[in-house]
Amino acid sequence: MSVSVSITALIVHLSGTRILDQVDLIVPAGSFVTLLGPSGSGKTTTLNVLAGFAETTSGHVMLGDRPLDGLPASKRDIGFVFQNYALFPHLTVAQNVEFPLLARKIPKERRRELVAGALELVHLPETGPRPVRSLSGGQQQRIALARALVFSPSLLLLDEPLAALDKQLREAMQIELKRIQRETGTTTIAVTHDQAEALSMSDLVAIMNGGRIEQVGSPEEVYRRPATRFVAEFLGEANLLEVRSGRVEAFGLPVQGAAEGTTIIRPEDLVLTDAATATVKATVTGVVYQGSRLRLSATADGCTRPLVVTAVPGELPETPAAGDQIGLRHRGGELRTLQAV
Amino acid sequence: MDELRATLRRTAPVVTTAACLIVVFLLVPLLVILPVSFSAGTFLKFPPSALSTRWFSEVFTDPDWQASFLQSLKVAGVATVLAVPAGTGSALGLRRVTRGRRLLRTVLIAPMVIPQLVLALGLYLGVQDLGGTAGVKTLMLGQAVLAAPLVYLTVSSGLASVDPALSRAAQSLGHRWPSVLLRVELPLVARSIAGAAVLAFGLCFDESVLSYYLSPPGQETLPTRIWLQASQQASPAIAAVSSLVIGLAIALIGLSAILTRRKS
Amino acid sequence: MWDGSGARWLLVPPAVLLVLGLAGPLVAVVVAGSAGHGPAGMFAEPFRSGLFLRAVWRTLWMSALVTACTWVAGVVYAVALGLAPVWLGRVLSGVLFLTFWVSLLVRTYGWVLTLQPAGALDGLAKALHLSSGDLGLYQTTGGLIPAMVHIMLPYMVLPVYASLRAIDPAHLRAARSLGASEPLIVRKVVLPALRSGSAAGAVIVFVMSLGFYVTPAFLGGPNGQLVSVVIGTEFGRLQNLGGAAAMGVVLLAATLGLYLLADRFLKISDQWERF
Repeated sequence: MSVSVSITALIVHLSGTRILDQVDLIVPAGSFVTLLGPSGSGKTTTLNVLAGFAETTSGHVMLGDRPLDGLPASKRDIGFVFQNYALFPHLTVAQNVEFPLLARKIPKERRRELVAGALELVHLPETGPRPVRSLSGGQQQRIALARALVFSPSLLLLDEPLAALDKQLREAMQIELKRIQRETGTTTIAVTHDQAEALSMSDLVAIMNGGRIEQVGSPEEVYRRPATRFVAEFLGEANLLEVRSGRVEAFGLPVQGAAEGTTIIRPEDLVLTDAATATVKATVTGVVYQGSRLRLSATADGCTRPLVVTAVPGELPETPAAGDQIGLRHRGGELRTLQAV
Repeated sequence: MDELRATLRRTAPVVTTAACLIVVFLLVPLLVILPVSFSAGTFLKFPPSALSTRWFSEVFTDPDWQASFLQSLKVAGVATVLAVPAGTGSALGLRRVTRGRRLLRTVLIAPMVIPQLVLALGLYLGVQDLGGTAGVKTLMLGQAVLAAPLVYLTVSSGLASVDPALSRAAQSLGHRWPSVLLRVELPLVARSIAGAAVLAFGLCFDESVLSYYLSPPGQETLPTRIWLQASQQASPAIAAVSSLVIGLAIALIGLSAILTRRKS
Repeated sequence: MWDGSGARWLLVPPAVLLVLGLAGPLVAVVVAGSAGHGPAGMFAEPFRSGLFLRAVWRTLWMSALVTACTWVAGVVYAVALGLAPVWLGRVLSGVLFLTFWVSLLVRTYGWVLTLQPAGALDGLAKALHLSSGDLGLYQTTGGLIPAMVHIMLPYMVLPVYASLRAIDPAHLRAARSLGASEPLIVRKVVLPALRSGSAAGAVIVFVMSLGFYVTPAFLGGPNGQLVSVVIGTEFGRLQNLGGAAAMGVVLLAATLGLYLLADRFLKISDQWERF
């Protein structure tokens, strides 16, 4: 049922500009992959190429063992959930969900069963006869999902699926999306610019920048072991430190990989300690209280850039203030030199 | 507009007063027709010395006026039937085109600025070159050309409020373009198309230059007959017909407004 | 264009209509016009006629005058549409659409009834004791200009009003909060914003005036003929089709040329699409 997707050496030009520059991606069957990147990174174009909405300059796309190159959107057997849902305003909820089945000439009885099943899947079984305009944003999102899944497509594409929802609903829908994807086992590719969303929903995250994929990996991999400086900085806060002769500046810890370059230490990996166990002495320059966390900025001896440190407020003997001298040490774990791009 | 009104507090009365004078200027030639059409005498005299509805009953019972009215209905009807698919096709087709869109649109709107007399001459000569004689069919074709840009503009303004993602959605859900057209796009702009058809019909019904030069004798449209009568004689009957044409125009604008009004 | 969108098929009906009903006829005019004198002589020949030459000159300055008058009246009307109280705004737009949609021929006939000897205007002047007899405007330039402005006004008001509506209220608020006086706001914010719309309207009015036929045919009079009326006479009464075609080519070249230029630089078709 579930199918893998492979994108090979994809290049797309749009009115003279190179939008995608050699994109390669393999999506394992049944997995949930998120394309994450800033606007203009080419993630939406990648999605449009998969769906058949954008022309490619060169490169190939395979869905299982079926090449998609040049196939019209209507023949691709791909479910697409649009950012603004694109529900047909002149049809009822049930008619919207039934719409893909009409193109597939499925008998009426079977259509009714499939529509009921799809509405059941998204937990909105009673909404069938209602006009789509009467639904809330979250409900419209579920109906769009039901419509895209009712014909059991080989691939599900989600374009910024949660961007139009408010924050609380977004978190509930993340879990819901993940549940539905797991229940149906449909290979899914989503596009988002929200890193928290990408990390919490996906099996694999592909980080895009400037029309290229910079890194593909599990959420933990891309966060803990970013391959490039862009990935490191795009996913949360990062302290970038110089690596010289295989050792990181100030801390002096050994670093894997290239002997010269840059490495990253996450703010939560720096621990405040007393002078005895500290590897680095620093002066606090700013303290921001963020509820569950305390965010400190500090200038450390031997560091070219200011450091950011996060700490849990209750675990500290006293809350530091600007001007205080503190000691810092690395929590441990492997450090790796980032690839130069 | 509210902000503009609030900002230009002192300019408003001056400009509005001037506009009211322009309104009078706009209405005078229309209002002059009414009393003349109700005159009791046989001459165009203003104001008429006595009022009657004799010219309306004369127009209604005159077989020639009746025939020209029916002829106009027929010609405008066929021209509308030709113009609506052309204009609608342009609006829907142009939305899909990315390259050459501007050029296509320029060509589509060109009939609105081409001198109608030159178009009439061209249709006359063109049919002659093909070995025929210009007649009612030529007139229908010419009026359809004049009405097509109007249909195009009306339908594309209706399409502007339709999310382009809907067409893509329909495609990705497995429908080929004819099915997308029938099931999604046409239902969503149906009201605009209906409104455009009414406007196109009104335009063709009132069109006079092509009518005057292409109507064969004995098959005059209403505007042709008004034109011929107005340049030959001075009878209040023409004013009566004109009043009726004004009434018809008001009815058509109303109908089109009701059709194109967005459902709230 | 994405695959299978059907754009090509959708553009077939307009293409067929425009080829048969527009391109074909225009080619026929050019062919007939160049039949006697060749393509080069086609443009020169009509200008040998003194009647045509005078008509060209007259058409140019009358179109310019009509455009100027329509411009002033149109900008005033459009701004009033935006500034008037809501009910009056409805009246203004209602009257405008009414005049736009009433048959051109009927409106022209209304002007005939207004201007002709012993017509409405003479009657009014007599009633107000402004004049004892005939104002003598019928079939003179003085009578034709207002009638042409009357017909052209909507083509001016609509694009100007569209530009007016496009003014960002935040700009007005900003100008006010910065202490700009009302005349300054009009001069520096409102009028510049109307420039593109009014330029588009002016070109349209000028181009349409060049080829305008019905109203000048009724109100122009024998001594003040415009190009289109001369062509109409050659075509209709004299059946001199070759001559009419040659003059038609000149008129066509002028109007189409101006339209294409204006569309290129003023984006006229964009303006029209905004209505």
